[in-house]
Amino acid sequence: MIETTRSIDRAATIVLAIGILFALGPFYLVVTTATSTFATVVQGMPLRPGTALFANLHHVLFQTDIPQQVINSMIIAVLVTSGKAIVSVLSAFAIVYFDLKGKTVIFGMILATMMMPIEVRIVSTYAVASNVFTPFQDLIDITGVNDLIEMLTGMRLSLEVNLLNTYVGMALPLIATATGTFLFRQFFQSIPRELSQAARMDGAGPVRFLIDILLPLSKAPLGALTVIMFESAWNQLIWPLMIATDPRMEPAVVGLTEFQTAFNSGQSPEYQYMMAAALLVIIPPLIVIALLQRLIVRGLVIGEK
Amino acid sequence: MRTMFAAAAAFAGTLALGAPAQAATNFDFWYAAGQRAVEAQCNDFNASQSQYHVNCVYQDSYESLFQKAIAAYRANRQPALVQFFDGGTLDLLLSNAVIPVTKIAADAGQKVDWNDYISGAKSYYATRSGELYGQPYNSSTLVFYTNDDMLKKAGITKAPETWEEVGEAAKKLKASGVACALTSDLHPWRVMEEFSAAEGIPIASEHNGYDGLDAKYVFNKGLEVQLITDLADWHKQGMFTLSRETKAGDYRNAFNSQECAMILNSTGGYTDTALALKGKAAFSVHLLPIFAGTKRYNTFVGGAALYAMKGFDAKTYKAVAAFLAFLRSPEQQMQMVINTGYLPVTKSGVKLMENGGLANYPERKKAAELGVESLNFPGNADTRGIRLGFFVQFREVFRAEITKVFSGESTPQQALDAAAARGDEMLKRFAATYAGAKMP
Amino acid sequence: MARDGQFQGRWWPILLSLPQLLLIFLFFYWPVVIGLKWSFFLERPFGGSAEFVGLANFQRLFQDTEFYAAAGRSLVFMLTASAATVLFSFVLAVAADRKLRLSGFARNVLFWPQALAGASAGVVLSYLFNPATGVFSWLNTLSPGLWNPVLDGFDANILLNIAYMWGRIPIDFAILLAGLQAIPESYHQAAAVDGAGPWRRLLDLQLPLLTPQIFLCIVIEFNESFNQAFKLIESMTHGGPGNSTNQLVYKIFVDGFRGYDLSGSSTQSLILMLLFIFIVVAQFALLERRVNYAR
Repeated sequence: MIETTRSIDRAATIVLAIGILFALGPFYLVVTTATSTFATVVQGMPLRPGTALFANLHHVLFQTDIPQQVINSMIIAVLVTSGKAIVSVLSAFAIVYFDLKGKTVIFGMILATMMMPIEVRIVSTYAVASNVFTPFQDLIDITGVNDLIEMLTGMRLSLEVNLLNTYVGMALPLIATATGTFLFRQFFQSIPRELSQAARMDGAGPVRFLIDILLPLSKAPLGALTVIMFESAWNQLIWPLMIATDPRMEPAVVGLTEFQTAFNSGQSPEYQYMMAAALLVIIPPLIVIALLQRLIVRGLVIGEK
Repeated sequence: MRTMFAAAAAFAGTLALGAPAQAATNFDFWYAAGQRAVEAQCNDFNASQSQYHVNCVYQDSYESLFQKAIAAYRANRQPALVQFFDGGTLDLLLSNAVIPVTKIAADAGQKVDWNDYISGAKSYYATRSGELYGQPYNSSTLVFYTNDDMLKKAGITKAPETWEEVGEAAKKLKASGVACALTSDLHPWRVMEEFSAAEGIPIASEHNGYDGLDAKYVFNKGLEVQLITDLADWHKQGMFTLSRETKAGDYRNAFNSQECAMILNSTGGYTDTALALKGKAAFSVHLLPIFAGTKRYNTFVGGAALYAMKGFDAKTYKAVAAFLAFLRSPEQQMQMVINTGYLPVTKSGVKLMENGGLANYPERKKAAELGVESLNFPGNADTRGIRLGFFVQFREVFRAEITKVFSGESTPQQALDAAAARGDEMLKRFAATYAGAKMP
Repeated sequence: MARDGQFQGRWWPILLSLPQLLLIFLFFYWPVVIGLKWSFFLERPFGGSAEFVGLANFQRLFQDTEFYAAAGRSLVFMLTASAATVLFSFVLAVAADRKLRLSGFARNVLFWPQALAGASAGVVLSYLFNPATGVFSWLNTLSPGLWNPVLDGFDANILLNIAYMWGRIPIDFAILLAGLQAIPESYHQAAAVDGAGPWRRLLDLQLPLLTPQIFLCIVIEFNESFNQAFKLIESMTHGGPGNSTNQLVYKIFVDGFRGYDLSGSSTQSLILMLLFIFIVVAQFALLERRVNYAR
């Protein structure tokens, strides 16, 4: 193509440079703070890296629960990511590829969960996590079914599965959101109808179609979603804080916030340790991004036919 | 009665880390302050005998511990013993979820002289009849820190004792080129609660709520207005800096790095400061300033107390009682003071401190003595403590409203009135929530 | 109205969506039901007998000016943060789509902010923009107090928007870039032959063809603005200064979690949910109709 693109290219370069600066600036600051001593940090934001990195890392590695908490975070993030991927592929598949009455209702019900962060219903969610049978127990109690059982057997039914202080308990409520379903629905809708038509004509059932055709096609969006879900699970704060009763079960982000101190303890926050911990805490998600980088952009191609 | 049958397949029970194999009576203790110090005490207790075993679990902050305990109690998963902080006292007294420590001790057959507790520590956590609900544990109070080198350079030879003198000192410090003379984060514990106690003025009617649930906030007049007005004026003149406006981003760090010359801080911060300023500058701690011509009263005890939660059997409470007795001992109190900078809370603890308990820690002794002195000033009916519902939430409200003064959005009077009005709404709701409940 | 290419079977779709439905029933709808109950009672923090108060909680809320203010702040933040994020992501994506020397590097690096945890990102960014030593502190040398997010609610909200953008640009950038790259080269060539310059093609070719992605980004950002705002407020401003960043989601959390006001908190979240449902319906009614999936 022969045309003059200089003006737009120059503008684009400037835009990209600003974008890169904007994206990297905070990382740079994490590094400079993590490598500085307490004495430097309290003078104000260090703009140049210092030499205290190993001392700070040593403190974080051996004096805090951060190493264990990074492992916790990995377990939780893997659970959430795989769980979300599975349930949302299945439900999006059901919504897009089946003619189901009340489909919009189901989709609406799923979608409604998308905007309500767990923080606004945290106490009642805790009640469920402390016993996942709570709803059923409440229902049989309210409806009088339990009275009936008591009449018949002389005993009352008491169901109990407790998820507090477990990885599963931290993960399940985070899986129960709609973002994945929404994104897969968008993706599936953009896949040509001819494919499933052809599959049906070949006599393939829905499961065959899903496994043999749809999933291989979805590799890229799955990769992209993995990144998104992994990062969002990694960054959860309040819910894991609430449900982990033991600091050794808490994820790393919760550990990070512990570097801030209580209001009447009189002790001063130590940002250099906090940032050294932050360095450790961002490594796993950075690795995930690096591994799946190629899939991210390809995977978010939607709306194409 | 519920009979358990069918699926009781817990995915995982409560984690009992390092629980011994023999059948010691086991219980959980949740705490949120003084991590290393408390851990050491737990280990010492477990090592000192084999009958009981306490499983100490650190939580991130008082606030989240409180909320977790609430959720856990509702779900029947509460620990037997918890550390709750000062602001939640009334919420606990009316919760019907805790057993008074005096009863725990009596049931276990212990004879305890509860009057050994210094009155400032006792009155905060005791019922009107003097029964201790929680056992005072980590305790501190608010004192005034000055960087004496910076003061000297500005030509101030004597640390300010009154707010008027604080203003004078700030002016001189500014003139001598100090960018940050005085800093504070405006937390109500510092600029309202402890201030009111030291001045002996009420925060709310009904003697700060001790005499009934129909209390109303009354701090929005007189000396408190004067204090906020002064701070706002000083802020305008560059003599007072907000905590987050400092380079260090935090009032404690700003003092410890010699950016700021004066702060209000808990006695618990003394150790940090002494370490940070060692060999760099001389500093000292003083009683909280009061206004000239007013009489000094005792300050409130800050920090937390230990509460036994309902829902366990007598055997467990016996174990809890043993642990509480262990913590009450003057030696263990000294351990806490040494490891954290908190204050001893019983007279025998103070005595031990005076008689060589802190011989190896002269710096900590200095701060602890000042703290105890501050707590032991004569009090009145308004300096016993704060017995107001949803007080933790009120603290947020207060801070939000007061900040508006410094951004020029409201006058001190407007801001305090607004905080009081919103606080009154909360008190009204609290009273309605606990309609029919009796104040113990 | 069976569409082409759909499978038959009544039980399959139910079976397939069952895991998702079960999870949201357990961890979303049932907690909402519990909250619904609380909103008609004065629930005591530690449980025990609760007073039935009918609609009193709602009345209290509707008289609370802070509630309206918080809801308003949420809506304003949703609009400004989403618009700014999508706009900047679009500009960046268009720039990165051109084959420049920086493009490859930018594509890698612009995704990194995804890795820095929400709360610690908040700490880093409030540190980065602090009034005394931060990157905007030079503004204060021009005129004292020009930049002070600690005291000035407007500045604090700007800070919140910047922090939000920082964390959210990666996703939108990737989605939009993917969309741009999917536009066949032949379209560009055809437009160029017709005499359309690169700026013109941006408006007449790329922008319209990108509507599905832009729609998707807007939907995602509307939702995320509620989720992420919470983490940022918690780690940066705590709702201050003077409530200026006290958005509804944060207020609900603080009232319930820090203030033990379970009834007031769940009454608000109920209203918030109704608001959400309205927004979701509006999004789809207004936006999806215009989006052209079949290019």
